[in-house]
Amino acid sequence: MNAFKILEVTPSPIVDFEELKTSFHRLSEKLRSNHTDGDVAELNQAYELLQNRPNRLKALLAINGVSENQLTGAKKVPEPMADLCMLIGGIWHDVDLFLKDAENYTNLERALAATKALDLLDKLQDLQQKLMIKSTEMHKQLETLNVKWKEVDAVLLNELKNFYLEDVYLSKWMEQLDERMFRLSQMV
Amino acid sequence: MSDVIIGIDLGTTNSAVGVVDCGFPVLIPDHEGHRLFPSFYFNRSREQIEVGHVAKRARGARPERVVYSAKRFMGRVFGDLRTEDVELSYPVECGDKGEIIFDLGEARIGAEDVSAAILSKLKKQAEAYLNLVVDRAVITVPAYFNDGQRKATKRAAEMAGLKVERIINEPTAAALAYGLGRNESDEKLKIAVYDLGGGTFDISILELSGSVFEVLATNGNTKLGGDDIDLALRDYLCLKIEESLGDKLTDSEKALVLENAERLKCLLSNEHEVELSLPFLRDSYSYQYTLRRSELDKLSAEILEKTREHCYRAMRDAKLRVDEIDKVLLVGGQTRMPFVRELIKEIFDQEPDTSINPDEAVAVGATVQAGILSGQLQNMVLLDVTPLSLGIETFGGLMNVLIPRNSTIPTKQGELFTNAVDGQKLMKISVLQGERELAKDNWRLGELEIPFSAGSRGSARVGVQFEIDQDGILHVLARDTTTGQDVKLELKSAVDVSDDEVEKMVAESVEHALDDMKARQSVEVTMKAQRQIEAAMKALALLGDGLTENEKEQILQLVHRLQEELKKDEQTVSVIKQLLLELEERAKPMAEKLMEQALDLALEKKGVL
Repeated sequence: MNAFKILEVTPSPIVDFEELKTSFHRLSEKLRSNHTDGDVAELNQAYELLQNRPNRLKALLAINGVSENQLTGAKKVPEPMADLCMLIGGIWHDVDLFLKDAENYTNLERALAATKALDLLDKLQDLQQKLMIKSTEMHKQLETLNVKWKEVDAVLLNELKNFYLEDVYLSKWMEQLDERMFRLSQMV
Repeated sequence: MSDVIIGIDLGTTNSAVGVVDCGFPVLIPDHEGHRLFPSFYFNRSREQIEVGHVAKRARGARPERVVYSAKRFMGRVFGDLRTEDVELSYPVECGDKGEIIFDLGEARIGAEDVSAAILSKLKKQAEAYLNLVVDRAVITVPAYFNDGQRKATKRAAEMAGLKVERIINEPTAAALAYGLGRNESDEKLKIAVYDLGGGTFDISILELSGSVFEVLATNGNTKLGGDDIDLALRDYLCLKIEESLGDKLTDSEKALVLENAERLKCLLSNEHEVELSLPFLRDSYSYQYTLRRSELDKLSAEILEKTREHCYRAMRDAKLRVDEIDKVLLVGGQTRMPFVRELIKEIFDQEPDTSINPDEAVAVGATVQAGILSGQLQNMVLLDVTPLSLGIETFGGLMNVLIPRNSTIPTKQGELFTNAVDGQKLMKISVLQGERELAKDNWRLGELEIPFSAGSRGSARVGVQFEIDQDGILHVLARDTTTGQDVKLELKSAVDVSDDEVEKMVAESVEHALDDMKARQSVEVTMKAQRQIEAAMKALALLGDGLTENEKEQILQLVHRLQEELKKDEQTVSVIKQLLLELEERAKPMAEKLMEQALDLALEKKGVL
């Protein structure tokens, strides 16, 4: 499946979301009047895929001949992310234990635990800053790649592959962080 | 097959049916002129089954034979129930395979049978009105219904002789009803649909642009609704009556109180106080009580507050800030309660839109969808989403998400599996729905058995395709890429598994299921009470001087009463619950002060204060 082709957008590391959405709506209207269920599922799958950065990059690598097997490095944390990974592991441990206890708290118990919750929230905010800095750096990197993308060669593909391997982790951590911050902030 | 398609709202408390007539969706009244049909089922005798108004009226006299709120049990197994779920006036039991059974004397039936009887009656109502045979329908379900609950709804419709042309989500249906005729302009409108029904809560965020209705995100809870408020009010009133009477109430007396609780709750949406009057409740004993709206609000606060988090989650997932929501639509009878409207106003920072009828909007929307499918209405594009992430359990008990929540449906996703050892013939994988990272915290849809053509390790490859259709129901297809053979895989749920071992386990647990549940509830409440006593004492010690003597005294008194109750050999769960509620209420100023102190401390640490 070539998601870019299905959505009729130019394959590149960065896509314009408004353009993507307009295209999606136009194609949805077209497909639905013809009642072809399988095609609709494919269109929706492609739309979902292109909205998610690591998945989009994976698809881009795939149409340029980099298969999933060549990306198995994703199972191992890339070197530049190793320290962050250790840090996050520790924080998740503390936060998850706290949240598990807090699941059945009464309002009064919640109030008694507020200081602890705020402390943990502070830790998460620090981490969020770190991840945001990392994310901004990576976004700049991707913008450079995006500009160069007109002429795809082995070097560029390799750069994108390495970027992808880091991005898989960053995206996952951002998502996990978001969920934990949300749950903690509901407590105070 | 007939050309006509009807739209049905199969609700927890009430149902309704509609059809497109001369280009307009209309709801079909019964012979008495009612457009709302109570979702009640009465087993009068072996031959005589009643549904609707008759069944509802029978509850007072024959509570043990009248099933209501059956929707709460659709697609669920007994082991999945909470203690509150079985506190009903009709007996809920565990069947041989762990399924949920209502024991109504001569008949032992399940939730699907009840739903089928209601659907069948609605079908007849439509046929009488149209003077045509009707066998196709669009049926609504709560947006947050999972795969099993949707399948059960579909089965019930088939039992009633209806082909389900589409299952649509209730909040989406309400938005369709609202958006019909408004889709002329090019203006983009972002709306939130707050749908609090009898048994379920949904919040959906949609974007309307031209003829495209796109659901951006949905969230909810299928175990939260107006029923919970009825039960809380019933318990509150029963306790008051028992105090005055000096004796326990019987089951049928409690059923009578419940009926009154429902009625009073509705009345309190317009009045500030109402009279509960039970003349000659027992022999010469009559009971009278003036119930104030503030009492009801207090009882409901904890239940209704739970909707807040779901709203925030939906907005977060839709990537919208509260000030970007243009309109908040109210759906479900429970949204008539002034307290609910205040809460919504606070969450969304705007007055909710009350232009649609909260009881009928879902049925009208189902009818609109039916009209679109049968070609009687213009083609609007409805882009709905799957409410829950779909995934499989991976090594280490984690959930690997294949299709994330809020993906537009229909959608599909493939996954490649390979044999891990030489000559492996089968691989079992668990399919899950939910948002938690650990597999065990999610809803287990069932197991898949992937067949491998024999070969050395890593040589057999089977591609499995997970597809969620437009009804939100999962289909699984497997293709052996080495042989090119396709197999349709059946998802085996706990109820389908006929393993001897499982059967034995279930049989053992069935015998004590209800007792276990009651015991568990008692333990849970006792533990909560002990924790709350501890918390109250700790809070008193921490705040000490910040409280008046009177405040301290009142809290200590409640703590003392709770301790006394806990010491008793025969504890009454409802009494402990009531005391806990009172303590929580009295402790509110303490909780607020503690929260303030914690926030001040945090600011101080940051050097802001």
